[in-house]
Amino acid sequence: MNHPAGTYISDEIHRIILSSISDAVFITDEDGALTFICPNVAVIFGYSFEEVEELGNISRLLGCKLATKADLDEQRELCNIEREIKDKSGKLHILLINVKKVDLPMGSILYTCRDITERKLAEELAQRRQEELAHASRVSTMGELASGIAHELSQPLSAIMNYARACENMIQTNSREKEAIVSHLAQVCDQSERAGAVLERLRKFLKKQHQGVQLADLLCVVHEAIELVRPQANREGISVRVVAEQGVAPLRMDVIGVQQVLVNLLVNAMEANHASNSEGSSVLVEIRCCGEQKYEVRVSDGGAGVNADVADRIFEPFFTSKEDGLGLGLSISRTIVESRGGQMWYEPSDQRGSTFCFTLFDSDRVA
Amino acid sequence: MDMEPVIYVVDDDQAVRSSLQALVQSVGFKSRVYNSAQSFLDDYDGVSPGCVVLDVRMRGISGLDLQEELANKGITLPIIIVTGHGDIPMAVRAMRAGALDFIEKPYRDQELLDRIQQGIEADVRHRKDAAARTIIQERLDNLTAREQDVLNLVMRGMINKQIASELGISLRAVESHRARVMERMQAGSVAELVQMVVIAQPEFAKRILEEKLR
Repeated sequence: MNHPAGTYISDEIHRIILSSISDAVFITDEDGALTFICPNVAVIFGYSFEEVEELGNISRLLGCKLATKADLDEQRELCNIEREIKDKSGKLHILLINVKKVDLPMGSILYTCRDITERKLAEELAQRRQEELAHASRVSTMGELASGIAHELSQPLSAIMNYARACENMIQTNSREKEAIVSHLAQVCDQSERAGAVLERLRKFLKKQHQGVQLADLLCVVHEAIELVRPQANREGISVRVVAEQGVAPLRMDVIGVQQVLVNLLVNAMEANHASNSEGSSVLVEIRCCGEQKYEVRVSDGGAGVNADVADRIFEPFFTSKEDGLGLGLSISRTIVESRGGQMWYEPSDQRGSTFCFTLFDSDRVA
Repeated sequence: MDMEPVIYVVDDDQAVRSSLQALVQSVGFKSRVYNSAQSFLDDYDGVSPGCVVLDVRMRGISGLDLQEELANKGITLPIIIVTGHGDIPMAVRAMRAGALDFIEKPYRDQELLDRIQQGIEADVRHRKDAAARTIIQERLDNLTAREQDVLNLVMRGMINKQIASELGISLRAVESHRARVMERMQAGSVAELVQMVVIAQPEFAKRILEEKLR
């Protein structure tokens, strides 16, 4: 061979390379008219070479507005455009498409399409499993909090019953205290709302569907999580304090996920306090700003701390020190945090107790 | 003695507290509400009869602590313990510590009102007994030593002759002391006298009976 390797590529080699890979390659002119169609086009699209030739324009295969001329002129190459297309039989494919400006006699735009349908489906399945597991863990956490919640509900229900019966008695005895009756009835409404709020908070937390990312105030999310564990805390005489640095701005986050992590840490913290029987014990939630749109949340308890010989195993799935624990709480919490680009770790304390921390970014920055 | 009974509601939940007040007032009871066991202890003067409706779970002094505190102070106000779901061990402890009754949330209002009624009746009865005891004890304290000796022996069922011999005094002297005892105790018959001693000094009356049975 007289030519250095790689510079001499015959049409034959071209053809062999293109037909051995599963990616589809097209070249078009500025208007999208197909000027080159790779021979393996049927692998992804189901259409034969000739059928594609007949379609004539790339938009018939990949849909419209894939890349504007202006974008292409400016960036030369547009990578990893995700697009759903239908093949000849109507089956849905998810493609990862690169569009590149080229300078060839036969055309000026090169399209390469990779079929990522299976990978995508596997990812989605994994994601769904993850959410199901997180949901199961939330349900299990709620189970631990059930008696506290029952108490939380029985308070307004008792009040409603008392007020309603008082009104009934007053009306039956022709009480003249109309104002008192009206006030009692207003209380009945208030207490129904109070009970409703408890249920609403539960319902949101236990929702199976993933809610996705939304703009929220971290401090509010922390307080909502505390409200979920409040009944339990009250029963056990544990106070929960929040210390937040100034200037915590709203950020985009997976609200339910963050709440789940918090509830889980709070429940653990309360159990640690309870187990060590410390009088007037408290749980502290700190929010620190550590960079723009980046926060560190720290949950500290006054319990006995994590035993040193198991400290590096506490985030493992199915590792638990609780008698009736699933051992999923911390492991799922860490997954939730990491899936949003954050970190989660445990800090032993010099004196008493332990601190669990996680970092939180604005989800837009991560993606 | 005819003071109007008062229902003392001690609960740290504002809504529960106020609604209980509304309920008991709607059936004609007087009531006072307290948001903590401590504020009730600070306020209660022991004068008004009535009963306490107490939430077993409260911050600060718990319901059970309050119960003990009242017992230590010698306040015998009947206590109705209100418990949430699953607090049976607490309820058991409360009953052992002398609560009149416990009632589990959610309860029917009539159930609670019935118990309140029983509580008030128990307290009124208790206060009457206590007042009677005080009066009888005052009369007993007014007896001379010799008259008390005679009363002791009358309680043991002795006739005058036996008493005279036991105390080494004349029959006439016994008759005279005995008449003074009946007069000072304002007893119309020996049976009445014995009843009075049984009420005021149940331990003493019991001891005499036990000696007899031995």
